[in-house]
Amino acid sequence: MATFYKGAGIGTHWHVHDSRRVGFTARSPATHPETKVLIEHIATGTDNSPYISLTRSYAVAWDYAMNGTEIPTSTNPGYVYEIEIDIPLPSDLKILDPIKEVALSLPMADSESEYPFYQHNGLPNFLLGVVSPSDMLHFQIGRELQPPGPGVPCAPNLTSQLEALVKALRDAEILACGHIPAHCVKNRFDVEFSGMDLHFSQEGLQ
Amino acid sequence: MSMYEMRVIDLKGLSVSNFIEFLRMEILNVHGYGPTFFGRVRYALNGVEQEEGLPMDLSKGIFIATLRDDQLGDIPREKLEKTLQKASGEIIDIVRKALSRKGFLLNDDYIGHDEDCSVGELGEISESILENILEDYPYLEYDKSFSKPPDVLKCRVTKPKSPRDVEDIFQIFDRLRIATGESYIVTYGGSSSTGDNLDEVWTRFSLRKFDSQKVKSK
Repeated sequence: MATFYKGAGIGTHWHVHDSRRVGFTARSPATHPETKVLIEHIATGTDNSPYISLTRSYAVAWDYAMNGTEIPTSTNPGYVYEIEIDIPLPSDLKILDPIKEVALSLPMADSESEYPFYQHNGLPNFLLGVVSPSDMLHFQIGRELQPPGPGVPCAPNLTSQLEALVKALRDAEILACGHIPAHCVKNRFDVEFSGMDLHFSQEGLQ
Repeated sequence: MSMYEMRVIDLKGLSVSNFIEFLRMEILNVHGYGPTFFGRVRYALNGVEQEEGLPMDLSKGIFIATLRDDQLGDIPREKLEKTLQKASGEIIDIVRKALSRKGFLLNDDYIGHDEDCSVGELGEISESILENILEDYPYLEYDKSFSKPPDVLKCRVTKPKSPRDVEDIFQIFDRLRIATGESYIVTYGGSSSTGDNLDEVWTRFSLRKFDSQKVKSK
């Protein structure tokens, strides 16, 4: 049995619809599942997706649940769903590790024809900008270091594959493809915003 | 000092529809951890500000909730969704620029409205943005007399023997570029003798606006 979580902020779809009654369904179940769509789902949150995002991390789900149309309170909480899926899986359901799915689609390292390669060519801290582009975008741009020679500066290379890999790892993300039946939803926890939940240390504040 | 602050970024000036007006973005910032990946857009429907906001995933650049049917009134659902989709990209651009620009003001207990952060204005205020950035580097100052803003911005060390770090130049370069949305070429120099390491003895640097569309690779 595998346990997953899904956060629902106030006003979001799974806050309005109680998945303990209806289970979970993708936004676009009829869309053909393929790696390209999976990558778009993770990297850009496309509407046209047959996948349902879950996470292994309760904390990630909590973070999502904190963010809705309003800040959750004890009288109007956000929700974190706990989902347990038994093996064997229902016939109409697949559970996918996006890291493995994306990795299988990547070109061989010695391939000459595949450009741009999926790796970035920026500084080591380039990934910080991918993890949190809202406030660390400057790491994505980096210093544009290039080999000596002619040419104009250009920003480091960021592929959708790399973006999907990084975001999937960041969110401890697992994808479900198909319908998650209601009986798999074991709990729905009420969560409200509280600084105590963040567990940050004094060292972290300095 | 509060452990939290609500960053508020002005979205006025963003005009994508006549029925919904995006007013401001609210982002919770936890000291030591930085902003969350999410924000809440305050908006007005038909000129009336609503009590609820619209949450956005700032990492993916999408709204993660929409208006309920009872909030829509006469507005067609399809029209609303198209409007939100169009607005999300523009909002993210504004927010990312504003957050990067304010990154050097993290010590403030509260960062209020970005009154000067509206569409189309950022490119015209590079000089003041640079001066704000330089507040984080007390040994540097903006060299107004030799600059030609916004095309050429020059800086120099305040005292000949001030400790300096060449990495700071590139940090400033990155921040300025993010904040203004412009590209720059950075050069640095100073008086040096044979055997000197310029990375250690530099005294000034220039940020020259660069339009990559006008330059061809040799």
